[in-house]
Amino acid sequence: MNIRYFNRALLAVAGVLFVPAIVVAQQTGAITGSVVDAASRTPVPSVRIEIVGSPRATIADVVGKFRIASLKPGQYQVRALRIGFSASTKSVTVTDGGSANVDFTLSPVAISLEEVVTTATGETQRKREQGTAVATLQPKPAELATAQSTSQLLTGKVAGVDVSTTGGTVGSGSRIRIRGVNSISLNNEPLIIVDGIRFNNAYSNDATSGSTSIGVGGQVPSRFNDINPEDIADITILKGPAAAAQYGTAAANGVIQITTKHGSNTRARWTGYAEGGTIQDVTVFPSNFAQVGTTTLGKRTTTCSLDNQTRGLCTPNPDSLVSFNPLGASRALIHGHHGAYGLSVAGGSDQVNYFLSGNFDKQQGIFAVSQDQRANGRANINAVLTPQFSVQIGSSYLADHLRLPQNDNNVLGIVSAAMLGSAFPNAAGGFLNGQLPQVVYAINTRQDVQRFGQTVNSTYQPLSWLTATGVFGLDYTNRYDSQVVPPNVVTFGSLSQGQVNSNPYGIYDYTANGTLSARWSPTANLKATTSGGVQFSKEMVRATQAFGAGLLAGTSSLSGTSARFAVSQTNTDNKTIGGLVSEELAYADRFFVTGTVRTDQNSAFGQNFGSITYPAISASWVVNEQSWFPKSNLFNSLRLRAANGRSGQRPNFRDAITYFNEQTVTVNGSDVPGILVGGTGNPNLRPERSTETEFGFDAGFLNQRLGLEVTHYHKRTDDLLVAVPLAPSLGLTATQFQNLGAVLNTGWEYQANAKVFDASDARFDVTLTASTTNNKLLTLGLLPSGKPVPPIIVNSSQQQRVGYALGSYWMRPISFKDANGDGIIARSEITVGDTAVYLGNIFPKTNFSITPNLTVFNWLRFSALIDHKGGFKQFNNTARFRCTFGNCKASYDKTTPLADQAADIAASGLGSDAGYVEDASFTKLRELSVTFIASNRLASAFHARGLDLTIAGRNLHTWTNYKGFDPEVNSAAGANFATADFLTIPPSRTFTARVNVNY
Amino acid sequence: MNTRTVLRGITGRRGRLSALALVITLFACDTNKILQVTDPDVARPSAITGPSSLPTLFAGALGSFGNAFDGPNGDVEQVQLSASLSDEFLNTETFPTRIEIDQRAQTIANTSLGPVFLDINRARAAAERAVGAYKQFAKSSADSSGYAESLALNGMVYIFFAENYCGSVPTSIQNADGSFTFGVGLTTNQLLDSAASKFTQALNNGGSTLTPTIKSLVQVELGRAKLNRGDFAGAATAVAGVSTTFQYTYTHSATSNAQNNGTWLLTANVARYGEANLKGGNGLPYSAEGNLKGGGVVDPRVADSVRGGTHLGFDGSTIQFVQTKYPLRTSSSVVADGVEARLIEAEAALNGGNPAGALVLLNALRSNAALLGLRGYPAGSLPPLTLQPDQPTQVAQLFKERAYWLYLTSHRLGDLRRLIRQYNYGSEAVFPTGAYPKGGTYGTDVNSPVPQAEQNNPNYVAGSCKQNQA
Repeated sequence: MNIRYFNRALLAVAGVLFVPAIVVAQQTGAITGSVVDAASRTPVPSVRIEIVGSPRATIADVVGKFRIASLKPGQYQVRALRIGFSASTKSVTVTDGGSANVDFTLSPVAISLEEVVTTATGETQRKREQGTAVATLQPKPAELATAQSTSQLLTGKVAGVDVSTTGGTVGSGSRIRIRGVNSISLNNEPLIIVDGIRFNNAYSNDATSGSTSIGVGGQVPSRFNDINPEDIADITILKGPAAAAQYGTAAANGVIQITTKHGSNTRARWTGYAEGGTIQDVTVFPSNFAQVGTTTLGKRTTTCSLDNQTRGLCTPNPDSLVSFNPLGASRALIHGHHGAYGLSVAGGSDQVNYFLSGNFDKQQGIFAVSQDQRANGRANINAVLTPQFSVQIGSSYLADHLRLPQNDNNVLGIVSAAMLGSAFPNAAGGFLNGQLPQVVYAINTRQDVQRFGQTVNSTYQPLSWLTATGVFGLDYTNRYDSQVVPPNVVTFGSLSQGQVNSNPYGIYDYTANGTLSARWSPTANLKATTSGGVQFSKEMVRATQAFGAGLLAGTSSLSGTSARFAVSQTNTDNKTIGGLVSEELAYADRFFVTGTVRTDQNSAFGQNFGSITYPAISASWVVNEQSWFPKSNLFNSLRLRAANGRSGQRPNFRDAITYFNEQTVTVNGSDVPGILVGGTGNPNLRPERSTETEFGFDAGFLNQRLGLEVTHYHKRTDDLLVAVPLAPSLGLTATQFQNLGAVLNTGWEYQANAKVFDASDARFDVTLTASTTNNKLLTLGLLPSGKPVPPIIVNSSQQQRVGYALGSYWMRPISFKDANGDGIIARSEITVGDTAVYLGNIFPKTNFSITPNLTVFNWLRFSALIDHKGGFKQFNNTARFRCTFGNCKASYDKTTPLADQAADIAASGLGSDAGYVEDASFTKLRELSVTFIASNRLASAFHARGLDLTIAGRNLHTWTNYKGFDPEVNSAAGANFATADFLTIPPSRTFTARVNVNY
Repeated sequence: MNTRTVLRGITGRRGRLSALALVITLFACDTNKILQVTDPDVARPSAITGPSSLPTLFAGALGSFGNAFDGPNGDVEQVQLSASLSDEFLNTETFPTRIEIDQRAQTIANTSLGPVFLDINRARAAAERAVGAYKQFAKSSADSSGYAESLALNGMVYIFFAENYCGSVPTSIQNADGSFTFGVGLTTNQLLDSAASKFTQALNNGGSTLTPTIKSLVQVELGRAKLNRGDFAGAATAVAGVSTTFQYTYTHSATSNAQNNGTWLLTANVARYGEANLKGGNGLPYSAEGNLKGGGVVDPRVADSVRGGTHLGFDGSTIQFVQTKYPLRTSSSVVADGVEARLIEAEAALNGGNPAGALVLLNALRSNAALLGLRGYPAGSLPPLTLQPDQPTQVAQLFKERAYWLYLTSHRLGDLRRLIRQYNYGSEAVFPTGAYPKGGTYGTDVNSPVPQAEQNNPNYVAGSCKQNQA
């Protein structure tokens, strides 16, 4: 279909929907105009054009054009805002039936106070009005080329936001922590809001609330990555309770607000892209080692380790240190690839505009059965029904088909079977228990997701000073987790019978918010906005887990199973209702104070607990706009800001109640239902409360070519839900939740933006972000006896201990000395401490990133992201397990470092793994891209308005002293704290070529 | 009404008033009703009450006992704990917490031991919940059908506390109002007396619920309690009249994974444990004498098979001999039987100065055609024993018979402790000792500790648990 006719067709469809509105909208005027870059004179797209003091706004299209219609005749202040540019405000008069023109010329600046954030009440605020350090990102095409997921878009971009890529499995997620971790029992992932509604953000292997119900050993998908990066207009990050108090009992971990792209009232603008590339694993996997020798009984042994030699248990045969690498020999790892294609169109008329997009993305990982295939669609329609009433309707759809390989902490894992396999090239290819990759590949573990989102945002301005907003939405995820093990293929355990897991999930997140805002001016310079509203959310899961074994060959569903049937259901329901009142005072548009009080009730609170109140107050002072502020080219701008706020996190669904689970019991030959204590409730259970104070400044230097943001925060979480160990002699459950503990997070955040040079033929800018995070468990509270709650054991290597960072590593320390100088560490030369000591924290204490961008000749652009994380440890359980399995080089080769020998022997024979807790600090060349921007002439040869080609790479190099495969991985992906490198495939290196074209 | 009318309605004065009314309504609504949620997956305590709840409570007591006895939770329970800490099992895997048990070097922070102790306490609490409900709600004999059995289950839990734990075991309760009453650490003798009390109650008050099978169960367990107390004659009296072919089994099933036989799971299915052979020097030659492929004398009571394929356990390095007593996930577990009654009588005879009489009893078992048939043992597979020359060898012979007949039924650890406590053996003369096959040496534990979590019991004295005392 011809593009022109397509636009007309879309408008016709929209017109049918909104004809009466369009009729009502007569007898008004419009504002039109364009936006250009002051330096290059090129159009600036995606600029927000807003009517000051009104909810009416639009976004300039890809050629910088805009139009706002249906305006009553009168005078308006029109403001143009875009990240990275100075703001501009102009006055314009709209006449009855006329069209007033206003053009903007924006200058690039290193720091801007005019970025716009949508608040929890649906209103917008400029950055200058906010007392907190809110970060906003607008993904650029080159970033879309380097990032294969939304979480990758965030990696290394924002100070205080730590995104950990836990593995290299395509379709798996990342752990996101904002300003540290707050909770030891509840989720620490941030709240996600997309176009005003709550977006399910599950990321764990938990049958009730996780992102998958079938484990494959470690890596799990993240629902956050269901958001299509191509559809994102901007990402706003409210880093903590000081900024996110309005979100109440959900926002303790920060809020990531995502706004998707919208249309503009211009003719249809088409944008398309196609990309393809490679996915590679560049890990050098170690070989398995064995030492052939002779035991004291004269028998041949292949495990004549240095330890056994020093203990006199064997004598090594000459030249008989053997090694073999099953992964290398089997070529189980393949070169993966990915490809993506997408098309979107945006346009509209004065009354109705639209954004439509469709995308297809396919990834083949480094294992034959590691695959992900996605198709997305989105339709956003904005309609100005009357000059007072507008509606934005958004619909999104995702179909995702993910297949996951067995890996990580998994006896059937491909890496584990190889790394724990044989040092000899045997008939099983050296793989443990004969688990050849092609055998394990027969296990078909899939997740099929169909996700549908519907949002309705309405704005009604009955009076010039009164605005009502309503947000209604549903985020529905239809998830189907399944696993099929064909019969007589995989011989481990009972798997040879064949079996099927079939777990359909329906996950519903409802949002309904209503707000009334009144703007008034007590004095000429003092403007006030008073808001009040109600917010309701409901999270509901309806799921069935079904299992059967004894699978009939040739079938792959439960219908083909014949034994060991099992079925269960998960039905959870959580509701929150909150009311809030806020008051914003703005003096001379340079001094702002905002106060908010929100009160919440939640269905998961204990029955004896009523409601909770979350107050917040913030202040922002644009100092440089004071008349007395010195005018200088060196120091141009200064804003001071401070805020204090509180938000919370509700208990989980059944934490507050006592209940029995069903257990099936055979009584007199018949299966009957019995009961088993499922939870020991606490009727007094309250939400966790996080209170944060932050202060900082934004400053501009050198004619705004250098911008600096500095923020300090102090966040304390009280009423921490502590799973207090119950005395097992009670015969109830292992733990009971009580509000006992407290956690403190403090830190500094820095962001510097520099426009190093900005000539006609070359531009160079660089962004540096840095942050420190100090996390400490202040208390676990007291037991009824008055004694402190004892340390909470996370696992055999990690504990929650007062005075230390959450999830830290604790083990008995080891020390060693080669007393006899023979170059071999014997057991007698190792000392193991009696009690566990702190060995390090699992989350980085320091994050640092550099993002340089160089543009030359207006057609060639280079970008990079260098990402550093420091001050944390990693448990190299891969090395530990291989050594205790007798597979590592350190067990046999006396040329290996003494520390490695000692770590092996301490773990294998002396009961301490402390030698494998290693410094995991690293610096990565995370992203590198080069973009070729076609000239107008070249673009027009393709009948296009714009054309560019980006070549990008990701995970290109790592500098680290960590001895394992990769310091960033986690075999317990999605876990709150459990962290270890355990036979995990590291993040892959990707290369991508991407072409963007717009018409 | 067309859309235009609707819009005019919304934007007109009436619409504004309606919006205001809507906001007021939202603020005025009953939030408790809005916040009501459904939870159909679980039962609240208020739903499990009255006479109709008794079968459910009994099933809960029985199921909880099964979980704690040899449940399939993937970790050890009483049967596997006893087997691993004694000489029945050899660890063939990599999990360090279970290796600690096998090595007799358990710490109270051992994360495998916590669930084991919790499960056995849940079994106790479930049985007591059922007993209490029978007393409160049972109005007829039909209502009471599981009363005596619940008392027996309750008593057996105390037997396990006494045989497998460290001589300072608290029992605590949750009161009706949700508060807790914490117990103090009970000594082994106190635990055994509590067990005996439960069995006596069952015998005296069981009435029609004391079926022949349950009566035999109670008799055997009462005898077991008395045997542990050193009251050999009393033990023999308690078990008198119990049929040699009596068996009380826990029925495993494939209906749900939670009903599988846990011993099968940890041995035949996932290769975590093998049948041991002369474990730590002092152990019995289970796998050598039970090895169907070994070419030696096959004792069907401890029959095993070499794991197929690599013959190696989960650790990839230890040869695993797989027990065949429980060859299937559905294999029922023997909890108590008439053989134990005869073995108790034999021990009473031996302690009464009648080793010949004891031998007669032992050989009667070995030649009991009905018993062998019931067990599926070939006739003549257990040739008669000969009279040993002295008391130590006679004791050793008796305890080996107990070990083989009662293999993998959570008796062996208690027996090794009795050898120390009642027959004056040194602990290192009966428990595995010396170099541990996976590195290091065996520890000194002769029982399992009460785990660290019990320190949340204000009445429990940390340190009162003595892991090296029988």
